[in-house]
Parts: sequence; structure tokens; C-alpha cells
Amino acid sequence: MNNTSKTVKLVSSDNEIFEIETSIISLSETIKNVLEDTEDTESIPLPNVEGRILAKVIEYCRYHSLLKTIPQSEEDIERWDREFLNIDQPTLFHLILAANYLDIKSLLDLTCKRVADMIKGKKPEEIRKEFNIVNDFTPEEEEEVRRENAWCEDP
Amino acid sequence: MPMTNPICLTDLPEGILMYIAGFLCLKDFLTLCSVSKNLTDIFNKYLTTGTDSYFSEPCAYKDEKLYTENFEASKQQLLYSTLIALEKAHVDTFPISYLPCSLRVLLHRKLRGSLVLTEKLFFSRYILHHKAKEHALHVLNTNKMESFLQWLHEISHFVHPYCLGKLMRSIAMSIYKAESLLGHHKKYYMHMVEFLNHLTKQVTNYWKAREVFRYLDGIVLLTWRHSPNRNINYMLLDADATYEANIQRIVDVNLLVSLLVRLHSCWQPQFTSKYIKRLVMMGFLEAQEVLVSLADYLLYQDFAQVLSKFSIDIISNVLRKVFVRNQLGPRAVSTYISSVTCEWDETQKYLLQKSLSWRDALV
Repeated sequence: MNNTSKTVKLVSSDNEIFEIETSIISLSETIKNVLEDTEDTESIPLPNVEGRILAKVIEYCRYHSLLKTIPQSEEDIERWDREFLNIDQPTLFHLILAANYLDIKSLLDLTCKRVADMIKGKKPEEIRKEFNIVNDFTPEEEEEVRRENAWCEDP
Repeated sequence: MPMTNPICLTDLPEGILMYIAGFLCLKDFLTLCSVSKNLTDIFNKYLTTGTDSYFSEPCAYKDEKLYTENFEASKQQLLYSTLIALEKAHVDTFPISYLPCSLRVLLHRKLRGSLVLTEKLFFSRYILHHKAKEHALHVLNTNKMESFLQWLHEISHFVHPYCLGKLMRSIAMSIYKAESLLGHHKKYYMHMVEFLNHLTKQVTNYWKAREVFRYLDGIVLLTWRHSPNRNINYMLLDADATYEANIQRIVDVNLLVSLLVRLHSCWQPQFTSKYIKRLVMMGFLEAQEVLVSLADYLLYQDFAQVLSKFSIDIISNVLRKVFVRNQLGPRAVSTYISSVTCEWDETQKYLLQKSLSWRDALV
């Protein structure tokens, strides 16, 4: 059987079913291992991934698998990745969890780097605002942390 | 479409938070640590206990002696070689202050499962900044110079020469600030000079000239940045402080000269000229003083060789000061000038003589 045309059904936590070529979803080490271990499997349940997140994961895998046959410039890939990550924060975090669960290293790198970019250059207060984090330090504790970290400031 | 469960940054598993932190520079990483107690706890756990069973003893991170003892030679070798390679590869692309963290990130990715290596690097930087002054003052008080040297030698493998130079200048500054150099604590300064001389000679064993330059920069920039006599308003406001500042400046020039003399015998002679030229380029006004003082320590042929690399204006200024300060007679003056100008053409010789206005003293 031609391996490239073989498909598998992925079942999300909310029971959405996605049929996809194994060659595309093999970007996921988790699914690749499942497929290798159970050759005749038709569907793989993914109880930790919601349907709409799984759709995004598949969109990512489809594009990046396509690059193997239709190469694109670095700029085009970066532009695509940027547009792909034009999503709200909860979706981004769920995508990180999914990438981690499905073991898709390039997607994990991409999404984690996106979060890191949202942190870079910001002050603690700005980070709290960006990620809706409550400041649970007392003023004294905050001052102590600031003093502790002062050593890495530029001279 | 069902709504995705609300989730925020702090809901992510610790492992993923650490992975995200791996993309941050040191400064941003520590900023993130100070956002909430939860994040502080997670990152502190990472920094202070590590994930490698190799460092199962929590105190290992708090006691650098234990830490060093626990560090197996093979791992050390691997770490050293990796760090040196990475440092060389990235020294020009990352701001110096971010370098250790960028290395940490790289190591994190390259040496998955060997977090201890990256933590060692991070720890060394932490120790560098938190413990260095304590160490220095303790050593200077107890005369345990050898143990301090040993410790510094150890960390010198982990930190960039510039950072090591900064450490030196930090130690020097502590001593300058805390003690009067002209008073009864002068011995501290002598210890520092002795120590820096020792270290400076050592660094030439495994650093290239460019790295030694950066190390010296770390020491030299202290004087330049902190010397209040740079500020004319300060001089007008506080004459006494200016006097002290001048004393400090002179001492620092002496320190630099002492290091350069030591280096001159260890590296290629032209590096001494190159470094002083670098001082000129950095706006270090005492560069000419350094040259003048070098005359006291170098053989005149060596000194002439160093001096000959500078412009005629600088050479004539420096020579004039050397001649006057050392009360040299015509013969010595003549020897100096012929040594400096031995490879010059007649025009250059003439220009120097004219600039010196000492033609009568020349042979």
C-alpha cells in the first residue's frame, strides 16, 4: 500500500473527527509512534485536544508537510507562521499544550517563542496586564525580588 | 463551536513554562520571575534545585566548594569545551549582559536532559555577582589569596572575559570605596594589585589577545565611568572629593600600567601598543599617562617600540613628560629618540624633533 495516501481518523475530546493523511500528521511524534505500533488502526482518540485546536494543529502540519514537496522561501514560511499564530491567548496556550501532547517540536517551538516574544522587553506590570496575572507580592516582597534580580541589569 | 476552556500563562505546566523561559534573555527571564509568587517559585525551583539527580543535595547550589567537588571531571570537560565553543560563536551577536542566558538557552536545546550543565553556567553568573565582593573582602581580610585565585580560576572558564573584568572592577571598586588607599588599608590595594597581576598573567595562557583586551576593558572602564573628576560640576562643588578622585585615578592608572607591564612579557609586544590605542579610542584620557608610566617599567628599547606605534603628537607629548619627569640628560634623550625613530624616514624624524623642540639636545 502506498504510505503517502494512507489516512487516519483523529478523534478530538469533543468527538470531532478529522480524517488526514498519515504522511501529514506524522509530524507528530506521538501519532507517528501510535501508527507504527498499531498498523491497522483507523482512528486515534485524542482526549486532551479539542476539535478546534486539533483543526489548527492539522492546518499547521498540512502546510509544513507541503514544504517538503513545494519548498518556499524563509520569508514566506515566516509570514505564514505569523498569520497562523494570529489567535487569542487561550487558543495559543491550548495550541502549546496540544503541540506538547502530540510532540510536534517545531509547533511547540513556534508557539512558545510567540509567548516569549509577548514577554520580551516588558516590565513585570506590563506582563501581568498582558497575561492577566494578579500581583500577589506584598510591596516588600516585590522590592526584595527586584533587588535580587538587579544584578543582571545593564551597567 | 464550543468555547475553549479559559487558560492563562500560569496554568501551563512547569515544564512548558521552563521551555518558554528558554527563549528569553536573562533580563526578561528574571523579569518574568518577578511577575507573581507562583512564577517565582517555579523558576526558583528550577534555578536552585535543578532537575538532575546529580545535584540531589540542595545545598550543593548554595556552597560553591561542594558544588565544585561534586562536579565530575568528564562533565566539566564537556561543559568547558561546549561553553568555549558557544561563547566564541555568539559573542558578537548577543549583548554581553545577555550572553550567559543565551548560552543557557542554547545549551538547554543542545544538551537536552543535561540541564545541570546550563544551570552550572547560570549559577556561576549568579555566584559571580552575589558572592564576588564577599569573597574578595574575605580573602583580603584573611590573606587566603590562594583559595580565591583557585575559585576565580574555576569560574574564569565559565564567564566571558569581559564579565570577569567587570568582576575585577567590581571588587576593585568595593575596595576603593570602602577603604582609603592612602591610609592604613593600603595593604588591601597591594593585595589587589598582586592578585590582578597573578590573574592577568594566567589569562594569557588560555585567552587570545582580543579576550585579554576585553578583560582589561572591564577593569579600565571602572575608572573611566565612575571617576567623578570627569564631571566639571562635581569638581566645582567638592574640591576635597575631587582630590580623592584624582588620587583614585592615579592609582588606577598605576594598576593598569602594572597589568600591562606584566602582559608585555607574556604576549606579543605590539599588543601593548594596540591596547593603549584602544584606550585612546574609548576616550580614556589617561592613555598618555599610561604610556608615560610604562617608561618606568619597560626597557627603553621595549618602551620605544610601544611608543613608535603612536602619532607624532602623542609621541612628543609622552617623551617630553618622560624626559622631564626622569630628568634625563641629552645622551638618554638621544637614545630614546633614536630607538623610537629607528625605522622612520627623515621627514618623520624631522617632524618629531620639531614637535619636541629639543633639537639642541639631539645628536
